[in-house]
Amino acid sequence: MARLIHISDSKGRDANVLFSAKTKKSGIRFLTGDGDETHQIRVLKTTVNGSYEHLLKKYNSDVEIANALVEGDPEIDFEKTGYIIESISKVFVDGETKPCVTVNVTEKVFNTAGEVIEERIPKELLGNIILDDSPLRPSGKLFAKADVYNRFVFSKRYQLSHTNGLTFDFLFEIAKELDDKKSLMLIGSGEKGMGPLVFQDGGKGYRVFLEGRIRDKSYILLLHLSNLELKPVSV
Amino acid sequence: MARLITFKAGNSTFEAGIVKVDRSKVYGWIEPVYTDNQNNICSTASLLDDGRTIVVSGGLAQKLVDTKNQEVDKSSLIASRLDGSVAELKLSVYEEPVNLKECSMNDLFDLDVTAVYQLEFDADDSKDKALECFSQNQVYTFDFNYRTDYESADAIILKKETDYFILTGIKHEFEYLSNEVSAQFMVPEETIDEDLDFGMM
Repeated sequence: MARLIHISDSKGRDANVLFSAKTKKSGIRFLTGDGDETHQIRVLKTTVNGSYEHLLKKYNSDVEIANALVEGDPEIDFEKTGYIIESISKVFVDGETKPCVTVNVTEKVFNTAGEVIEERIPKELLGNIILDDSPLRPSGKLFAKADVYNRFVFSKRYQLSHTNGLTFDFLFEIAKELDDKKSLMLIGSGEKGMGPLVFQDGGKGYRVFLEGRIRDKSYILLLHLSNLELKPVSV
Repeated sequence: MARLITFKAGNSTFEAGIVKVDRSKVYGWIEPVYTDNQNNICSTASLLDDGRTIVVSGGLAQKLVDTKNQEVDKSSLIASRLDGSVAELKLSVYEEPVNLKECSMNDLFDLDVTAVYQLEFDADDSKDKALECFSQNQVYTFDFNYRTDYESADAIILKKETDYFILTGIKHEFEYLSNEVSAQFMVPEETIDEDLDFGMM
């Protein structure tokens, strides 16, 4: 589904245009010998009472749990096991597997060596692609394609599309400028257009690069999203 | 020693293991900590749609069923393509040599990358041969299956300075957009000789 994004060009003109992602569905389906379609369902294996932690509390040792499993089926809730699950909600539980009424959230930041370097209140990122008073600006920083193809990992891309003849001209010109320069343009939040973009509240921040391609009187304008540099890791 | 993959590019062949690269290994990572009012650690669980039953980790299972919701044995299933033809298994990259096809760096700009691997060489000989294959900063494409499966990921292998990386994901084809206006909406230019009637009565 296409959504709106508010961007400006290097001349300071701005417009709301559409962006959308491409998806690819699996081209394989699994059939029974009779040619019947199959599908996946979620079923309940066991409730809290059948969990290892609960059984350990009940029987005190692994040996006693093993004996109980040989003699009966303490891990199975005969009323509920096998229940087909349509929807579930996430809940927080305490050590006794009772729902928590109030939950406080903090976060630990680890470095690459696995050491905690900071404990903090979580930073919630707010979506910043459609702000009426401040369009996303091209930073003016150009990256030659030949320099970035092995520098950043582009994990997502969105195609920008026009909504009318005026926004066609607007996007075509941006695409042409980038195509002529064989470069990507960093586009982002903030006055300088250097800040990360967040596409929805609570989402991840990405560095975003604009790429344009031209063929005759048509264009492709893509937002390439990256949150990873291509760097070797120590093994 | 890591399992090795054999890569073939033209007449050259080299072997290398692969190591996954992700954000946690490059920048570190963040873990949320949930506590109750007594500062006891809380964990997450699932609440079923009956509003009462709590299920902890490991309490749910995925099952493959037929149209009558009867569980089916996975080994008895037939993999079929959407056009009805029988799908064949594609071997893991560890099971047979991988044929690399040279492509353009522009192909990277169409690939939604889902995983990155770094090549690790056990033998200098293999590293030298890889160096030959990438002497002009070539970029190669191939079909990637970590495990044998019916579908492959699109993959690109490239060199950056002294390191080699495989980027796997989904390659897309994007459509060029044009602004064709139907002829019926085109207004021919013409000079108006008549006076405009502003009375419009």
